Amino acid sequence: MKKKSLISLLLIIAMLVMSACGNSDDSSAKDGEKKESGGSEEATIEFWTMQLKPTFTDYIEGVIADFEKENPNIKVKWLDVPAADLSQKILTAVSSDSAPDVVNLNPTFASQLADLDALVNMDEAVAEEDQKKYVQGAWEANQINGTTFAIPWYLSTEVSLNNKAIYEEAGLDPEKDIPVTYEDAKKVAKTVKEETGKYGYFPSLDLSLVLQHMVKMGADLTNEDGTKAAFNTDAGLKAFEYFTELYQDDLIPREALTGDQRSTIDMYQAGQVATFMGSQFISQIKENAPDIYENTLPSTGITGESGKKTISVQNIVVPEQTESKEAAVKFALFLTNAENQLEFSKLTPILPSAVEALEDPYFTEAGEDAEPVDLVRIQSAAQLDESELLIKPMDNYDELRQAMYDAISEAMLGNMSPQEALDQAEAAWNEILSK
Amino acid sequence: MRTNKLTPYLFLLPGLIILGAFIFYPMLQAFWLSMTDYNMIADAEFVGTTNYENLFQDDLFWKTLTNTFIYLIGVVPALVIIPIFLAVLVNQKLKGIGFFRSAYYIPVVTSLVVAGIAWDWVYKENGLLNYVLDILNIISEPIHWLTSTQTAIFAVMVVTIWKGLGYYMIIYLAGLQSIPNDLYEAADIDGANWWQKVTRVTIPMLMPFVLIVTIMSSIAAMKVFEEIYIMTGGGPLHSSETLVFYIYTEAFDRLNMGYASAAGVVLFLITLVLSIINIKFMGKDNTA
Amino acid sequence: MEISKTKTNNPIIKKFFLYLLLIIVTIFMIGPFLWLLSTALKSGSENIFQYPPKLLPENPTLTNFVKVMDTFPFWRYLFNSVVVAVLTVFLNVLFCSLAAYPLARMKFKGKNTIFILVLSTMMIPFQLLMIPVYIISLKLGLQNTYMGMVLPHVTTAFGVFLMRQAFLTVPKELDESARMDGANSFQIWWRILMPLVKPSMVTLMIFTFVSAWGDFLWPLIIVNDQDMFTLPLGLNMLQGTFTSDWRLIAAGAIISMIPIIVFFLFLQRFFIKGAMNGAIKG
Repeated sequence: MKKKSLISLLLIIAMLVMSACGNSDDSSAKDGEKKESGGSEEATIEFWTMQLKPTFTDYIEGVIADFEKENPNIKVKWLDVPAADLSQKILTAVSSDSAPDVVNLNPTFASQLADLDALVNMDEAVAEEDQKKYVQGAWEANQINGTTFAIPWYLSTEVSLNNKAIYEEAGLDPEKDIPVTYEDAKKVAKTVKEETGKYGYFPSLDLSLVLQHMVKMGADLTNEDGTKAAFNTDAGLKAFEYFTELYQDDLIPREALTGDQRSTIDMYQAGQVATFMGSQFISQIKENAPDIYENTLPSTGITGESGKKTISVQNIVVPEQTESKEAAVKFALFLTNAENQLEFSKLTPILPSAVEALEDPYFTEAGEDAEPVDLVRIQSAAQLDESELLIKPMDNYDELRQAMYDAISEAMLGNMSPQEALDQAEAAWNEILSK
Repeated sequence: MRTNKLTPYLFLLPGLIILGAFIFYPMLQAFWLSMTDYNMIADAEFVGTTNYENLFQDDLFWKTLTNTFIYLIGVVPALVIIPIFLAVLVNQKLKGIGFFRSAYYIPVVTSLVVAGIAWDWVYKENGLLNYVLDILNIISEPIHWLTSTQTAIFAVMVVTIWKGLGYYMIIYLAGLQSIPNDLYEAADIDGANWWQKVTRVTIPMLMPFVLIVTIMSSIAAMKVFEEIYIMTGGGPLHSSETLVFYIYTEAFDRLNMGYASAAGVVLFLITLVLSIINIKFMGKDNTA
Repeated sequence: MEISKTKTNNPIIKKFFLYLLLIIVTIFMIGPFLWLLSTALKSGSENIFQYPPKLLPENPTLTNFVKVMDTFPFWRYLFNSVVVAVLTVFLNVLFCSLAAYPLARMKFKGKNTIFILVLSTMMIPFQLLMIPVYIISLKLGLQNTYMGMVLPHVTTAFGVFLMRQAFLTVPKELDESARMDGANSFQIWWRILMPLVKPSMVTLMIFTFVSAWGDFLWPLIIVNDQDMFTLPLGLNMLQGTFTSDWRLIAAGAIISMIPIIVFFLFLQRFFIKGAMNGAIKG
């Protein structure tokens, strides 16, 4: 008698739980559909993008609708995932054998998955004539150990943004004095600091940027077969010394070392920085800091003795786990075809990876009423030919990157001389590369 | 007692089923993975104690572990003691006290992503804090709160404390309600002043809740991640990097899930020992 | 604790100092929130990152709030959030109070072990458990369901711990006398103990509500269907790859805080009545 009430309570709870689980039926049915795939059979593919909603909702949905019209047997289910959490979500999905079919990833993260054979090799899945439709440098940006793990989507090259008002305030001429090289940037930093107390130049050292700066200044990262560090040279030392000097003389903000790229854009929007490389943020500046946007003049990216400029590539991968490989690749090609990419790049200042789309006058001619957004796009397209992927995908990339970052931090914070720090980085790299 | 032997287990059953499926079993998995080379894509292969051996030789592991302890020592006393006084303060019968309670609770519900930006304004080189200290003539040149190896971790601690005060205040507030008024009346008769009542009645009667707050805030401090991720990214030079941050990068940036699990198991064991010491030390009188 | 009962010469001066203290603490606590509020009220022509920061908007406007609600299926996501939060709060309070009762009141084998085991569930970072939890949830058919978002959170070590400590403060004589009157364990739990620990129950409800409301990572992992998104997942979309309008982000953050504050304001009143008084005196 006593326990009856308790047991009935437990029963009620159990029923409650089960009834709430009930609506899971239709989702498992959806998974079932996926199994029947292949050429002409019915297929549902899951497509994940990185944070494109809500700005590009109409665009992506339009592409999907067009694709489904052309391929009535294929259904595309789109999910937009926050960029910061994409790696966790995708890894959870892959590890439980429930990966999506088409995913937008950046090459660094994708190369790690490719290294573990988790991605479809596009050299085999894509016909050679289709491969030729893409900018060659962009196609090759997605190669590791001799396989191509992705189809390139949109690109960007480095464009500096300059706040004309600060240049004028410092007695500089924005048309003439805008820096093209690292040495120019140092001069601007000095003048601006002396005249206005603001920062003339804000280089970010986040993520792979330290490595990029070094390559641009003429250092090679590794020997040819990638087994040994090769940056402990005059050029490498120069890079370490350059940033150490700027930092210790307070010519660049302290956040250069610790902040992520967000801090560069925040300070630029606050009118505290004259020049930084962050043209991908141009739309954001337009929305958050309209007065700064008005004063913004885009210019070619800052580089060093090598004259090299970097290209960044966003790509589309198809995980090996997909059960509709053919349909997935088909959709990936459709999404990245010239027509669809051209439409995409009209919505935001990016460059298409499809050669045909790039020939559009939209990327070459600035109209009368060209805004900074348009100038960024045209500048970016103009330097595409001279830009390349500076940091090729490497094994244990994240560890290598971190080791270099730690070493240059030691130098900048004054714990070591630049040469000592460079020696430390070399030793760390040799150890990691020998794994 | 005349109750059936099964009764306690029946009460525990629903909770234990849930914990079993969603935590105990995954925990066992994590223990197992810590002895494999799991990378979340290929099948896991048993590697024995290799991960642990590597871990103990990893300087960064020791550094982040030390930082975690610094965090623990810095944050826990503040979060155990200050909220008691806040709770006493907002337990007054005053007009508009509900407003103040809510105001103190606001940091708990403010997302750290946005709070992080506001705190950036405070900590910047030419930010609010340096401005105030300058006016008060305490400093002659600005302190780089978030960008120097000496101060970054402490600057983030303040944010953790700011966010935790209201949380633990509510726990104490609930505890205060359960103190019988008779005790205060008796203290009044004895002529006790306000401070004597706090130390002789309130705090002893709150002990069960002090125990919760101590254990909860210690565990939270051992696992601190989000503040660091948002405010300093662990820098400069790993000076504010904690163990969970390290675990996160190893797992999801480098795909070393097996290695990360080993670090997680070490964190687990340390936290467990700490909690047991806490319970033994503080919980004696009230563990029935 | 009632200071008003202490002997003070001048109650007005005392009140003045109390309010002063309350206000000083308030400034420290809600400073960052004020920044949020002011950003949300700023109009499109104003630079929100200008230096030095301006706290008062030039042309205050509510358009950002309207825009946020138009950006995504706001009401749908709000509904999902409410369902998830309410289910989680209800089940969590129930399961935790059930489990806490024997841990506070009964003697049985393995009691301390079980208690420590329960506590130990808090000690490992969720990121390490995420993959196994996800696999189990898939097997249980929980993907894209409300229960998938709810179930992993319906028993928390914190809840069990808090309720156990609350039960510990209730004098034992109360349940002993009830047992004399013939009540069984379940009746004692439900009729004697639960009403007496209302403040702790309310605390648990508030905390569970807040964590269920703000939960981001787990819903993101378990849900693949945008119709099942909760508010935080929707709000995250305001931070785009190419654009992040901080006015909208701030407005969205405030909108998502309102239900919590309302819930809190409603429940905090339970902290006024000394729950024990009736039981002891009566």
